[in-house]
Amino acid sequence: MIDEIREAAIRPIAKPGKWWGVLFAFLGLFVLAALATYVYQLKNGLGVTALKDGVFYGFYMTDLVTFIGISYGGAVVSAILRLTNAAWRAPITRLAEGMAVVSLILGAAFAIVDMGKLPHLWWVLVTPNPQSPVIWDIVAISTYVVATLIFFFLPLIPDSAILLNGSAHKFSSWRKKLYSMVSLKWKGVPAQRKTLARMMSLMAVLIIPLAISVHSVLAWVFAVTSREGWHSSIFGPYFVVGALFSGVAAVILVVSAFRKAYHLEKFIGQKQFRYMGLLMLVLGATYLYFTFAEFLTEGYVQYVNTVPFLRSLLAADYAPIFWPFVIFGLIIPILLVAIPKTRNVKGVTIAAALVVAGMWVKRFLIIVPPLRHGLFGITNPSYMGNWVEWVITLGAVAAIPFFLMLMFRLFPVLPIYEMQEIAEEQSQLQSKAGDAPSLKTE
Amino acid sequence: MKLNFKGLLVSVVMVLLLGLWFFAGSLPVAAAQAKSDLTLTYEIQTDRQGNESLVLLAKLKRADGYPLSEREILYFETTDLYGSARVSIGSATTSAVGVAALKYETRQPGEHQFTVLYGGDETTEFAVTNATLGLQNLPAMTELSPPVGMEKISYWSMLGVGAVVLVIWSLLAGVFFGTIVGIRRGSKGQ
Repeated sequence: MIDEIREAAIRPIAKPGKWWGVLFAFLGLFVLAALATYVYQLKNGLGVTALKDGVFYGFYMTDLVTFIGISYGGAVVSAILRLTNAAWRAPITRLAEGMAVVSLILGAAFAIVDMGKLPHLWWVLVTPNPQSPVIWDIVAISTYVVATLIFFFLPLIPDSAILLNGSAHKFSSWRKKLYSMVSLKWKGVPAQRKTLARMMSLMAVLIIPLAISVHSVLAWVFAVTSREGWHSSIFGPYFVVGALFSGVAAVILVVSAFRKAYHLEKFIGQKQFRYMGLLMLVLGATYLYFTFAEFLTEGYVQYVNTVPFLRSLLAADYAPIFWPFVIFGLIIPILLVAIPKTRNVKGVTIAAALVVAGMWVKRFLIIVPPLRHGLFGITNPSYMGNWVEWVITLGAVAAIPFFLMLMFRLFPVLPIYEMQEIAEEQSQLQSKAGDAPSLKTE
Repeated sequence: MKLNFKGLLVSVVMVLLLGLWFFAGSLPVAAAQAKSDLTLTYEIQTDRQGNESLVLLAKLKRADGYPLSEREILYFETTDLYGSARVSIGSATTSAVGVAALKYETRQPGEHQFTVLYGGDETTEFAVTNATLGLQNLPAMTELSPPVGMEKISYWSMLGVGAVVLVIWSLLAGVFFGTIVGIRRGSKGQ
């Protein structure tokens, strides 16, 4: 079993398959197009986008919230499952943590993209206003990036040592140097195992409140303004639940794609999809409840400034986007997981894809309609982004699988050390159970 | 017994006419609405403490000159703040002499475009008036008082948040460097 784990984990590094290069190049084209478009935007300023004085947040802010939300699922789910010692988590933790790192860095990059020309970023950093949630956001996101990188790095230490010493594959010299540096002379002695286990537990505990703080602060960027549709006391927990919901869905999607591409079916089976699906179902139901609670209270009071925004969302210009989100992004995914017949790899993956797309739309609906139906009863021009924003957004979407493919050309797709440990624990438990007197009676 | 059809018919018609007369009183009747007239002026008023303020005075009367009291007047200003738009600036109720007064603060002297609106009721028609007023000799604006105690809360909360951030970064550094040192030491001490 242990040999099989090693072979499967190292396979994408050694022999990634004939389609790897084609897919990597295809995704790379999108990433390159996005980079070129960003350079064009840098040169000409934010005026090349559809953002204006009225609707001043659009696709980039939607992308920022979505990508950071997605990263949430990877980090927090992995942390919670580690702390609860759920053995089934092991094969998916590397993918979840890798996705967290990639999507978080991309999400944080959108803060810079949204600022337009780079001097804006410089002035935010050198003249910070501690009363502005934007500066809290920078502090929270940068802390979370560091924490996620450490959380990803720690399990790589023993795995790099395994690649260096325990693999039959001949690596090039730069790879050997890289693995030697990351492995920190790991030999698997009890003192090292103890240090690693202690630090992993500490990081798992730390990353949960950090992740909650990031999405709460992100929510407060909107909620501490006096704008209708943003100024809401439930935005903190609403954003946290939304991030977990979309994050779990993204983990399912990534796990499903890499499982198929790298033939990991033996290690990642129905069980992982069923459990992750159920987690997504609970979070989806909670998100549906929050959405209902938000609109019920706002709609019941019909405060004069809220009515134009609510009408546009529920019954006017944004209704053709809002109701499909409710049906396809919330209700259908919940039903797909709730019905036992569709609670399988295919059904859960389809549900997850709908959730990821739906939650992008929901973030757009949180950000844009309150800006369109702005303060003082003013209605600003409609906003749906322009080619610059679409290209950069699509490029960022393609960048997630692009960088994950690259990441798993360098490091094992499965956490070898962790899976070995669990396999050893389970075999010890089985042998102990075999030694113990049987309680069964004929 | 022979039925007196003529008497019966007369009785039925009488009852129907009586019923019609009785219920007709409760039927809605389209009342004739009097035309109303709305004008807007402004003046600088001084209160007992000697504070001056600019007041927009909307006078509402019937076409025959009778002042309309207890009517709500809505005030709007056409502004170019975020593109040209008519922005609500408040409302006031007419007094016994038909005058509604809205205190209005602005730093900008010169021409301002206002719209005042009376929605009408069952006896009087609605009225709307656009007026361009050249505002001169503007009184000083009321100083905004700072939120009570918030500056202290803000100061201490910033310090608190800063301390928490420092603790978190120290913990992260501790985990990172602690792992490196611990694992390297473990490899030497085996």
